[in-house]
Amino acid sequence: MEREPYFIPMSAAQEKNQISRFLTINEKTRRFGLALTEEQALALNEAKKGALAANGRLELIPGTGVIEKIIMAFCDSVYIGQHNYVETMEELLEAFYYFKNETVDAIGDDDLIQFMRRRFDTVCQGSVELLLHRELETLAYCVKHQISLEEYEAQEADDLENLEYEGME
Amino acid sequence: MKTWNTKAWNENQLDTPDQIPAAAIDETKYFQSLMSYCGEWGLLDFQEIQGLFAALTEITVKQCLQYNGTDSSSIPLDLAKEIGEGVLYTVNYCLEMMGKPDKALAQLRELSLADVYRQGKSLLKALVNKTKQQYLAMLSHKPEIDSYTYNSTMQAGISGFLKLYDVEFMPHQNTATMDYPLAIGDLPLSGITFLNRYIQYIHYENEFITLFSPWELKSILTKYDPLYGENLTNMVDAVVAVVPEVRLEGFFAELSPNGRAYMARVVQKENIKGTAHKYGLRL
Repeated sequence: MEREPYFIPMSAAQEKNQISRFLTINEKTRRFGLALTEEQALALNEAKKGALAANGRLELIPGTGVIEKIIMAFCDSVYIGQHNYVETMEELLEAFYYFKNETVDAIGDDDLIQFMRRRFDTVCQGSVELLLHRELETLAYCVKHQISLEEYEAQEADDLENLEYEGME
Repeated sequence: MKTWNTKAWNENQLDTPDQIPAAAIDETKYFQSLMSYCGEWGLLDFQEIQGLFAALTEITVKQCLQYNGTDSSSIPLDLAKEIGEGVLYTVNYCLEMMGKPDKALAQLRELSLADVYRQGKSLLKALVNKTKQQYLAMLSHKPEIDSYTYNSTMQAGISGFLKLYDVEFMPHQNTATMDYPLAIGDLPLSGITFLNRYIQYIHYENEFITLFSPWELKSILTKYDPLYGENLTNMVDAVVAVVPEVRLEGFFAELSPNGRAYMARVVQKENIKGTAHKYGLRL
């Protein structure tokens, strides 16, 4: 039996409102040398829709501010400048929704963004590639196998140490 | 928030009984078909219908947020669809319980859809409890048969369904399959309404087959299907096919009125299959 769900898409007014909200973020990000044009804000919004669709996810309350949260978390990174601002945000959005699935929604939006932010500037040195394929993969592994990240990393460090020790012998 | 088109309501004099024919409503899609009929006949205007669908979405979103349990602003689409199905199932059950489509519409006019949903959830919870009681009652009168499918369905199948059943978020889902088939065939239901009906029918079937002694039943089953213990063989089907019709008439007479009515439907199905018999029952 074919059944149809009922969901109302975001209205044009809501969308316009969301774009203008992005633009107000410029006031906060400008001091880090980052600003979005209206065109870029639209592009980011489209990227979010694309990331949601590509990862088979539905935003429950349209415009709840994932883009704003990511921008605010990452805007002070030394690895993000105006030249790669939109591109990096788009990649982070894609990574965010991908890992919401991979971590089976066990981690809330804010915690996941905070994790991404911490790793991005430190161990990843601004590489979204590393963030995606190493850090977030590790996080997803830990969530799926119900082990803590600290436990996993301690084990990894031990293994590495043993490997180095064996090499010396 | 809601502004009902009372003019259309009065003009159509919907408070007189049976203004909406029951046949116009598809029971498996109660809410949708009620909206469709009301829209077509001007009993609700476009804005009212849109408002009700928006309310349905709102309930679904709330349920999704509650299901998520974390500060997630998004949810996998498949999961959201399932939760939406559950909301619709609950609303449909509440409306169906009103008895008549007119009463269901009156309910929608009197209460907000959120209230209808809440009421539906309470009714479903009551049905879960009733089903558990019926299950235990059925188990206590279960015939002792060496059929793996029958025994595993009655024990692990049904209790597994009840254990895993999620009335809060996935009330429409069948959490376990009932391998043992009913003589009447597949039921066009899902969730707890399916299980409740299944147990009810199994009770009627048990009532019928326990009229036979265990050794007699075993001999009938062996004659019908030597591998009945492993196959998906329905015992009522076997009895109806094997026992001479003259003897069956006597057995039917011993059944409760509901059991007799059920067997009449089974026999009718058998007739359709080509095993024509007349058992002195009104088909």
